[in-house]
Amino acid sequence: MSPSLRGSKKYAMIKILRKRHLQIWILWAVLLPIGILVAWRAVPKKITEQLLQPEQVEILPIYIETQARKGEYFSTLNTNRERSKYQLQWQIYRESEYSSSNIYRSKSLLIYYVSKSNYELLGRIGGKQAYYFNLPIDSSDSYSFIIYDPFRKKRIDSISFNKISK
Amino acid sequence: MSVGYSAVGWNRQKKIYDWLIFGFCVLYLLTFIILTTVFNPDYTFETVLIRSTSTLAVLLLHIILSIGPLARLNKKFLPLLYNRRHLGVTMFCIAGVHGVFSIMQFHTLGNVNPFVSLFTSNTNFGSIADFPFQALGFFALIILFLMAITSHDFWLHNLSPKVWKTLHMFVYLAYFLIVMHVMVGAIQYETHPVFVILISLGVVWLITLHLIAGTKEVKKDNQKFNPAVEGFVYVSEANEFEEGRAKIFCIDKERIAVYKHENKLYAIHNVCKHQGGPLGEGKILDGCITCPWHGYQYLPHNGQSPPPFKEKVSTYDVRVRDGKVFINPTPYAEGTERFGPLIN
Repeated sequence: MSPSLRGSKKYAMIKILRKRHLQIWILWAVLLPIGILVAWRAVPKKITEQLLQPEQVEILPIYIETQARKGEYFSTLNTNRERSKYQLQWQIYRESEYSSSNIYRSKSLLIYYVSKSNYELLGRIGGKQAYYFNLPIDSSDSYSFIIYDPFRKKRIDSISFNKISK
Repeated sequence: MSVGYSAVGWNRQKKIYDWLIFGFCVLYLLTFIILTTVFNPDYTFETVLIRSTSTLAVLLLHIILSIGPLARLNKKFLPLLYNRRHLGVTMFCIAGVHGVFSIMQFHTLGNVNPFVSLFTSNTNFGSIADFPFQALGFFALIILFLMAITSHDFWLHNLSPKVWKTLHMFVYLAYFLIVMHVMVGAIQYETHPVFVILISLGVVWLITLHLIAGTKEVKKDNQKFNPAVEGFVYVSEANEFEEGRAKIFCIDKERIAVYKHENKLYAIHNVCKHQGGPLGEGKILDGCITCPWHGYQYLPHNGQSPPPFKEKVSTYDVRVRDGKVFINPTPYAEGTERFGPLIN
């Protein structure tokens, strides 16, 4: 009889691998449920069901200022006769790389109102249509906004209006 | 079975299997695309492709990872194991389409190199909801790529079974990365609970299967036998053997397969030289012990692959006394011819 030493070494490796398979799955049995649970709890709650503004917004009649951008969209700051309310009108008339290329073709971009100390989400835009957003009243002379692509985590544009330009 | 490179050894079974895989994938993608076109006509073609390939790849990965433990628990699944590599390469190709189109969609429109953009456009590593999930998918794809390109036996022989097997065990890491890629990626946007439920069911299914099969293996390894008498250990009754099949016994921490062939018993080492497949779970085809994993063959009486192949495994002495089977667990040199005792 002449036992094969070379063979024994290889066989030992197989036994270790068999054990390692089980060890890995025991580890996954702990880590994967934790990972799923943690990620699931982090899901923003009902974000798609909450309307940031009423769907039907009364269009204010006075145009204060209009700005066009990149041949793709223009935005207008509107107000009423008393200048007690302000409104941002956002009209997309040609689909840009941003509005057409994201997972959600429509309403994929976020528009924020920039206040002195914070960014306030006004709503979502995208696709060829007009959007109207009522603006908070503040004491400053201007309104500033940024457009943000949440999928690429990228600021696309920023725009400012002077309230008293007209 | 040779070290030299040879193309995939197609046979009728493999062709049928591959056509089934191809047909299933095409059917799945078409169904997904048609349903999306009907219910969500606003989606672009790229978006539909990204989504359909991602879900298909995840589904295939679950099937692939189920095959191993299923085959251990039930021999009916062994044909799937035999063809598993083709399914793996198919899955990588589909995941690759998902990866390429995702990078094109999300990272090629700016002036930054897409791969740089992939890792720098989102650096919210401290946030779970905004975690850069695409990087997880990218690393998983790299693992799948390495597995796919080394899937041929040419690489198994050249890398050595140990390195090859270790490399291919990284599929478990890839699976973990993919689950987390889905959870901190798509699930954060597609908040319907059905998606979490589906991925959770997949995870529970795989964990359960692998733990059951793994525990069964440990039990096999811990089989207890009475001390040897004159070097031989009693293992079983002779009438418990089925013609052309084997029983596996783990003696002194080594697995030995005892085959019944033409009413004689032959014992060989249980581990196939190819990928460490369990020879005792195969059967005798054309007079050869055939590995259930990839069809490598060995002659029962000497553990040698039939010419021109050169693989060899160790053989053992078997004795039959009064209807009882005894094995001497000391192995002979690989390829040593041994006498097979008659059962009756």
